[in-house]
Amino acid sequence: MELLCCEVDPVRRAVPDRNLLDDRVLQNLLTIEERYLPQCSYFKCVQKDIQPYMRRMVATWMLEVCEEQKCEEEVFPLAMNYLDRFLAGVPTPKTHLQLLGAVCMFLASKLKETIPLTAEKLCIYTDNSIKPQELLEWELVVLGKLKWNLAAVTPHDFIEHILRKLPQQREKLSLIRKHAQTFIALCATDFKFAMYPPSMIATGSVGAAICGLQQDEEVSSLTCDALTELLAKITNTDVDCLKACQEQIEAVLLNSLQQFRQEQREGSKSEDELDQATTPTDVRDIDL
Amino acid sequence: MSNVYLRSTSAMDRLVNGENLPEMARSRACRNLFGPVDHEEVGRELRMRLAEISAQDQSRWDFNFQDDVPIRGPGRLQWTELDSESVPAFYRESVQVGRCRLVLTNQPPPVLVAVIPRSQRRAAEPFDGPNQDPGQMPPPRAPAPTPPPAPVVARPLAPVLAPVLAQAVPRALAPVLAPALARAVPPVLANALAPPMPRVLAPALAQPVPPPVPRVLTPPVPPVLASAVSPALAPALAPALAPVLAPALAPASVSASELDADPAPDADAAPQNSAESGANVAQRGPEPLADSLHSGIPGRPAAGTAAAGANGAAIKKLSGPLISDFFAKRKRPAPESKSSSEGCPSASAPAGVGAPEQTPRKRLR
Repeated sequence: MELLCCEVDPVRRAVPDRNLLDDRVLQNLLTIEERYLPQCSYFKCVQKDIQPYMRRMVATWMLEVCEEQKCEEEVFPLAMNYLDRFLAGVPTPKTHLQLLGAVCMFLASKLKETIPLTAEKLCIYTDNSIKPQELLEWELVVLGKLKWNLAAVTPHDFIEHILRKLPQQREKLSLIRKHAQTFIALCATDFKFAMYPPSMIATGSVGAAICGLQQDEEVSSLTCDALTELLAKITNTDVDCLKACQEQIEAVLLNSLQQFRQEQREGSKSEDELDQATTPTDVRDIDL
Repeated sequence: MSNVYLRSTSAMDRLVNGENLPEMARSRACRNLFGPVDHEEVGRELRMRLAEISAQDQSRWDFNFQDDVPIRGPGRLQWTELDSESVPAFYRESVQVGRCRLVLTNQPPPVLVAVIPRSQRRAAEPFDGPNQDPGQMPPPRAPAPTPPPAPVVARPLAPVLAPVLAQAVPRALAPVLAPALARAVPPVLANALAPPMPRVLAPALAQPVPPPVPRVLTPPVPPVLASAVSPALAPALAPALAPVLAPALAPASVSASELDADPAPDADAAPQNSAESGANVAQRGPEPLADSLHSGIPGRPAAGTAAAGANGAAIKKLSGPLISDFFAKRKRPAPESKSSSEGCPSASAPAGVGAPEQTPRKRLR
């Protein structure tokens, strides 16, 4: 017997405020975004124990947790921003890296969500290798090292600003938005993008999303080149840089698709019962 | 973004905690990435990092958060004790009953205010003129009429917000910071001030009536006398002393020229003097400050709670340095971003991995 009525979204959202989408806000975002970039490429100068592939491991795990817990889209890139900024300043042994990732998700979730992730749940996701108490204590360390500067600008902050300036039909927008969000998450897993300004990642992601979708159906009246120029103008980005960024994003997508197919083949061989669908579902929906 | 349409329904799941867990345990995402964690090592590292952070905080605020006392010495900030009557009510311990706010204690404990002393900004000079230092303001104590509370909030914030503003502040603060008791002045500063001033001051204060011309070189006033005299007499002495002392001060202090420029030299000059004598007192008795801070603070939790001021001394921390850091960071290397468009990455070379200059930058308009 079902008594629960789930028609209403349990998270109440404010209606989009048009005042938050005007040019003044966009300009402010562009002005402050670079303050929140990690200070250096930390694999070279700060970290001794941690290797780039370890960042990818912890990032993939964090993305899976966020997907499975159906966090808001912003939580994962924001958590990665905290992680990178922390690692850019504090040498960390690799055995603490997952703890750090969990703390960063914990903080980002508290900042962005109405019902944040709990410490207990995050600890279960580390296979109980860390204790909730440790998570809470380290929260203070991360906060201190980030100087309590948590409201970082993420690529998601730019998506609506960009979309509303594109000559798109309304009905295509949500598809473009969804694909762009997936690209952003993908970028956050790759250290290559960690030092890029968020606005560039956002612009590149929107560009890659539209160009990708364009192959199947008409989503934009513009050609890819014209689109890139328009996008570059919106966020004051250099056209060539933007193109390069977009190509990098597409390359990362291709890479991750190949990796996924390989995993799938292995998975079907071993007839693994585990639910494979927890890794970025959206990425696979995209046909190149 | 407010309209992420994807994943809202599950937030409810997080509320039904217990039932969800067994399912989670089977999830592939539940995994230990880098092998077993040494909890003792995690604890050690934690304590080390926390100590690092608290040392950083301590030097940033010149305040010992563990013991809840300001750090004396030539730091960046100089803490000054204020009569809490002179600050707005919300800095004092109170109870809110409906729309009524009741202040709890009869004798409210003093309040601490931090300012960046001028000497910080002009490191080359041994010390700055007394009237540039809010800590050197006259102490018209309890009975003195308190100025309206409004400027207290507005003004003290200003100096710390932007160091540039600080120059304008001392004069504006004078009435407000008045109870800045002289003993709050760091001994170092008092030392620096001691040679030029007390000679002139001591005789002036030692006698109940100010002499027309300061006579020479009596030993410094005993602390009791100085503190007894200065609060009560300061206003009365002000006009009488000012003309006498202003020329005498001229060679000794930087502020002499400023005294001339001052719209009300009389009012300004004399209170400084009494404050100076107080500084002299502080030199000999550095302890009272700590005592007064601790009075009425039984079992105060240690770090970070200073601002709360829940049980006793309301200690006000100004957010200034934070904000000035903020502005300092804001400066963007404009020429660099202009020129860096050639340095943008190609798809083949993963340029952004390297140093910041390899990051693709935006071209400025």
